[in-house]
Parts: sequence; C-alpha cells; structure tokens
Amino acid sequence: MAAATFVQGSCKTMCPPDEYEIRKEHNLVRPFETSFLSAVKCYSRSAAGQSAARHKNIRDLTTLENTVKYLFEQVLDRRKTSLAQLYDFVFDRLRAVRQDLVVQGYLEGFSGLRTVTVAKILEYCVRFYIYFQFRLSHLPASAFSSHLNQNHLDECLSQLLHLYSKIEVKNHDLLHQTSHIEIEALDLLLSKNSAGLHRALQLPSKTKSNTIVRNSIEISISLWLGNFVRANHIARGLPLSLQLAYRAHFSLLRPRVLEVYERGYRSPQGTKFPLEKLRRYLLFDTARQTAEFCVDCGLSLDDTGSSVIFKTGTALKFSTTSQSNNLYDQDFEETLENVRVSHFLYGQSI
Amino acid sequence: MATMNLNQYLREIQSSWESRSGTEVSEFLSFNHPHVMSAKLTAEGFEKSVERLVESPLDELVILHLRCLNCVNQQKYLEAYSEQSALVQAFTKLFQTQKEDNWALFIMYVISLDLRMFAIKADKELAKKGADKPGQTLEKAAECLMGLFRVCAADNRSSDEDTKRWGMLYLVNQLFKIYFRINKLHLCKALIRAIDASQFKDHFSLSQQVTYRYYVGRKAIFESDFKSAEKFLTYAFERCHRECRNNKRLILIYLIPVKMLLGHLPTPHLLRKYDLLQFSEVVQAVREGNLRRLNNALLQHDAFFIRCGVYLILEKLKVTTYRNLFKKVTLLMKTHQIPIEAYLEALKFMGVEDIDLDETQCIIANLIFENKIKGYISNSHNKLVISKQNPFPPLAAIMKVCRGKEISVSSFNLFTLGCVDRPNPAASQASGNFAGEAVARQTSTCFSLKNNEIDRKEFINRIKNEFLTKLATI
Repeated sequence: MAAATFVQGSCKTMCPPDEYEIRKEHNLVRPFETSFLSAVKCYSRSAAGQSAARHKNIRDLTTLENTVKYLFEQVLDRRKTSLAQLYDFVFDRLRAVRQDLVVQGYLEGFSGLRTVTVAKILEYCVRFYIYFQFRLSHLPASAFSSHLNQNHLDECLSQLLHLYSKIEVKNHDLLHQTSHIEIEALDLLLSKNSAGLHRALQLPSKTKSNTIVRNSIEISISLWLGNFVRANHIARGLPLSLQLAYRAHFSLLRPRVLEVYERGYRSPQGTKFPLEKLRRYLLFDTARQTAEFCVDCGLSLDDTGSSVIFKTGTALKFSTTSQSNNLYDQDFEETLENVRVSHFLYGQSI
Repeated sequence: MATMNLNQYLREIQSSWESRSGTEVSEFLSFNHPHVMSAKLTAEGFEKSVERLVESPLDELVILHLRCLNCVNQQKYLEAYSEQSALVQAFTKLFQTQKEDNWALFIMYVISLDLRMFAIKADKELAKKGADKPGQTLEKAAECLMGLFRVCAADNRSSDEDTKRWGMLYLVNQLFKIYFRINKLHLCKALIRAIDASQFKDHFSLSQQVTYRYYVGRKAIFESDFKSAEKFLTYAFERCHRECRNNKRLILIYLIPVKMLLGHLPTPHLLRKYDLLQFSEVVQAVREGNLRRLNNALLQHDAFFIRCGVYLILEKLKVTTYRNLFKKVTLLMKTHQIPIEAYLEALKFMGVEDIDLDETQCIIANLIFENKIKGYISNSHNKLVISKQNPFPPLAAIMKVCRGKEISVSSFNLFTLGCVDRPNPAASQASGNFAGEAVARQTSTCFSLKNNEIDRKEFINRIKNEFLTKLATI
C-alpha cells in the first residue's frame, strides 16, 4: 500500500471539534462526556470523500495515547457506573482509536519509536478485551457480546504480532520495550488449534526459554494430549492476564473435558461422580453451576444432588448452554476488584 | 555446449521453435542446461543479435532469458528474478494464444522451476539487506505461477491430447513448495480441490503424483487428519522410485510418526537404511512404555523434529507410551481391579515430576475415551476396573482415530453382552465379561472398601517391591 493513501492526523483533542458540534446538536453525547474536554471521538464506519480536511478529524499519535490513558484512568478507574456500561463506552472509543491508527498507516510498516507506542496501545487494547471477557462473561448476550469481544481480541492480537515482526526485523532492540513475551504467550494460549503451537515451537530460543512462554507451551501441549489436570495446574502459576486468557480458552474445552470424564468413569451400574470434584476439573465457580452444565448436557444427578451419574447408555448432547462460557470465579473477582483497572491494562499487574 | 557461441545458440533455439520441439526449446531456456556456462551468450550487444536471428514471439523470451543469465553471472538474484518473472509473464501471454496446442508445456516446466529458485535466492538477498517481509519474492512468484495455472486449467475445450490441462499438477506442486516454505498452507486448499476435480487426476506422471501426495500428506498432518496423512504418504513412499533415496527419506520423516501414532512401529532396519536414527530412541521408548526415555529422545533431537514439523505428533506418542506402560503395570498386578496408585507410582518411577492421583486419573480417563483401555475408573474405590477380554486392544485395530467425537461401538458390545442396566449377577458371570465379579457384589457396595483395606495396602507394597524392580530391568 502506498504511503500516499495514509493520512497524517493533526487533531490534538480527544474528540474532533466538528464531531462534537454535530453530536451535541443531535443529542448524541454520552453521559460520560460532560463537556468538550471530556468528549471522545466515537467509532463510525469510515466515510469516503472526506479527503480534504480529513486530517483535522484524525488524532495524532500522542493524542491517541492520551485518549487511551484518559479512558482507562478517568473513566474505567473512576467507576461511576456498571461494568457493562463502562465496557460499552470504552469499547466503542477504543475502536475509534484503533481506526485512527489504521488510517494513518501505523499498523502497516515500521515507523521507528512510534511503532513501539502503537504496539503499546494495542497491548492495552488486548488486555482490555481479555479483562472484560472475563468479568462480563456471565451476563446474557443482550448485555455483553462475547463473540464480538472475541473477534476484536483476535484482530488486535494478529495486528500486534504483525507489528512485532516488523520491529524485530528493523530494530530488534526495540522489541524489549514492548510486552511481546506476554503477547506471544497470550496468542498461544488463545489459539484454537495446533497452528498456535506450531508457531510457538518455532519461536527464537531466547523467547522460548522465557518461563512464561515455556509454561504456556507446556500448557498447550498438555491440552493437546488431553491432560487437563496438568494444564490447569501449570496455569495457576501464570501472570494474571494470562490466567484470564487461559480460562477464557478453557471454557471452550468444557464439553470435551466432560466427555472424557464421563467416558472414563461410566459404568453399567452407574458411577456417582462428586460435583465438587468435577467442578475443579471444569473450572466452574460453584457446584451448582457444574450441576446445571451437566444437566444441560443430558446427564442426571443423584438424589442428594451432590453427584452426577455417569452411566453407560447415556448420550451426551452439546449445545451452547448457559454455563458453558461462564468464566465467573469468586477468587478472581476478588483479586480483580482489588486491582486498579488501569494497572491491569497497562500490564503492571504481572 | 558450455562454450557455445551466441549465433549458434540463437540459430538452434530458433530452429527448435520452428519445429515445435518443446523439449529442445526448454533446454535452451533452462538454467539446468550447460549452455548457461558460456560467457559468449551475454557478450556486449547480445540483444541486437537476438533481434536479428530470432523471430517473434520467441525473441522476447530469449532476450529476457539472456538478461537473466547476465544477472546470475553477476550474482544479482533480485534482478535475475525480475527478468525471469517478466519471462514467465511473457510466456503466459503467448501460451494462451497457442490454441489447441500444448507442445510448449515443456518450456513452462523449466521456466516455472527457475522462477521459484530465483525467488528463493532473491529473498535471501533481501534478508541480508534487512528486508521488511520474509518470503515476499516467493509470494510474488506464486502469483505469477497462478497466472500460468489459470491458463492451463481453463483449457477445457481442447482434445485430451492437446489440452494444456496436463500442466496443472506440475504447477500445483511448484505452488505447494512455495506455500509450504512461506507457511501459507491454507492456500493449498483451492489447488487440491482443482486437482481432485480433474479428470486427469490419476493419469498425471507418477513422479508428479508422488510429489503431490507428499505435500497433501504433510498438510493432512498439520490438520491432525492422521488417517488421510497415512494414506497419502504411504502412496508417495511406495511409488517413489527406489533410486530417489533423498525423497524417500523425506517422505519417511512424516510417514514414520504418523504410522507410529496409528500403532505401527518402524523396524531398526528401516531407520538405518534411510539414515533416520533420530527416530530410533523414540521408537524404543514408546515400545517399552518408557516415558523418561521418550522425553530424553524428544529433547535430544528437538531442533530436527521442530524444523520438520513432526515434533507435535511425536509428543502425541506420549499417549501411546502411557498405554504401553499401563499395560505392563496391569499385567504385573495380575488382577482386573487395579488401584490407581499403581499407575501413579509407575509414572513417578518414570521420572514424571509433580504428578498426583488427579492427573493419573485424567490420563487414564483419556485412554479409556480413546478406546485404548477397555474399562472404567471406579471413583469411590479409586481403582481401574478393566475388561477381562482384551483390556488393551492392539492400537492398530482401533479404527476410530482421535478426531474429536468417538462412539466406541466396541465397548458398547462388551457392556451389553449380559451386562445390563439392571445388573444380573448370574447372567454376567456366565457371559464371562469383566463386570461379572464387580456386578456379583452389586447388592452391597461395589468394592467393599473395608474388606479390601488390607488388600489395598498389599497391592501398594507389591507395587513397590515386586513391580518397580521389574520395571527397573527395562
């Protein structure tokens, strides 16, 4: 792509003045945006034909960085409303930030130290998506779209890895200023098939020998071999952001885990398997959730309701149940409540 | 040939072209032919001579070829690629105008090969200069070749003899080589579909078929479709010419792990014959059920295995190794209800660190799930209850390879033979199924733990004394 098609943004406020005026007129200003100074550019599908004065509506890199900091520290940290509403607002505004990065060509090539800044912004976004995937997964689809969040996470990750490869070639030392180790490990843990593992195994040995990466590889291989217990065990030693990502990925494996245990323990006369034990394997928060999941999959509980019955002849049926993507965990909730959101997003809670 | 002068070269290529001799013209345009050694061909003013002695459209091809040769002589591969690329594109245009004719296919083969070779060299050159994107020249070469491919594939009005479609598989193989090198395997899918749909699918030359199956087999491995991989790679290996040892070796690098996964271990003879001793430690370890030896074997040659892309399949052999190890333990215990501790002790003895009952149960549950063990785990008594009949079926006989969902028909038969939802001790004992003993005590608790308390301790002692020493002789 020729550099000529990229715009050089010149807007130095979080929201372009033109946009603010239009939104104010049409009553489209959000409660968070009490005045022009606290307004943030919202996401809109790029309209063609705005060529001439376009650069005035696109924020330059420093402004973008400040915008993200504002969103994290002044909006998320302040917590004046529900998490879901905060997510809605910040998700949209971050999308606009990423859009401004794209149109200025920052995601394409190498632009020295600025690429490091761009990488940092994308890293903040990745942690944002993971954080909220974890904290809002238990909400119904109308309140939080796990699917959309996941898509943006995937997109961001692949843009980041692309940037890292550019930095690596042009100026290897700059790579240390990014969190590429954490992100490589994240990408591996979130990978849905063995392609991620293939990629990770071919990383340079310096990266591979890093504890976090090594553990992530061991976790992935354990899952590849069906050894969920080992994978869960190692995962507990990961930094917080990676643990959240691991759990998010693991929830996709719950049907498989249940299948394996059902098959391994089922007897003709019916084996009673304690829900509390199964809960640990499935990484559910409560025995009740586990029970609900099992029943949804076609299993029955015993009379006391504390065990599930694995019996030959039962056919399991899997569909997206209410519990399958539920990541809620009391311990993690408490931890996250005690961590400043911005600290987590900046990668400081490792 | 190596000292051929320019006029001679031009006259010969012109006459070959006039007589539509594809093979002869292709030699004069190939970098594998000795004419490229002659310095006289790229002497000053060669272009004028070409224009004088060679007719259109051949003249353009010859000029580009000689320009390319000039660059190669100066070791400027990026420029060489550029010329070769122009050559291929010029050829594509003229090839398309040759209706109902395919004598030029031979030319297509050599210039495609050279294009790919120069692209590789050009990328190396770029890498030295600190290039942006590794493999960018190869990607461009692929696009170029796709242009040629489309010309061939679209030629469906000509007779079977004259159709350009005969060139499809050769190009597909060249494209496979590029896609594998730049790691864009997903681009192979469309090509595979095109070949599968072709009526010439089984009539292309054997060497092209072997190459094709090799790459399709490797792609299947990458997608964990091991059954298909075995099919393709076996074909490739068996049909590959005896003399092409290098190619046979390459095929084996992928075929051996796949076959091991499916239950067939290679003989030491085979490994020695094809210089693949990196696998011999792995094979021994799996056969013995020796996890420690397997881990060491993987570590020792991990760079080789990772580079070839077979490391992950070999990791998967751990499951087979667990199975072999557990089979040994079971045989030593001489009973059909084995405490899980027995397996745990075996794993610890094999050097598995940090392992507990939970993990051992998980491993066993997986083996049962994959039909590698016939039985079930009794949670309350922490024992593995195995079938009296063939509890460790031979791996090769387990047809349902792990690809997600498995319905174990075989175990179903076992359980329904006399053993029903309403357990009938007499009936099941008569049928001789393993459930007999267990079911007979159905009225009380299934393995009355209190009575077996001493038995359990005895079991564990037996493990530690008898069986660990036996394992030590491995």
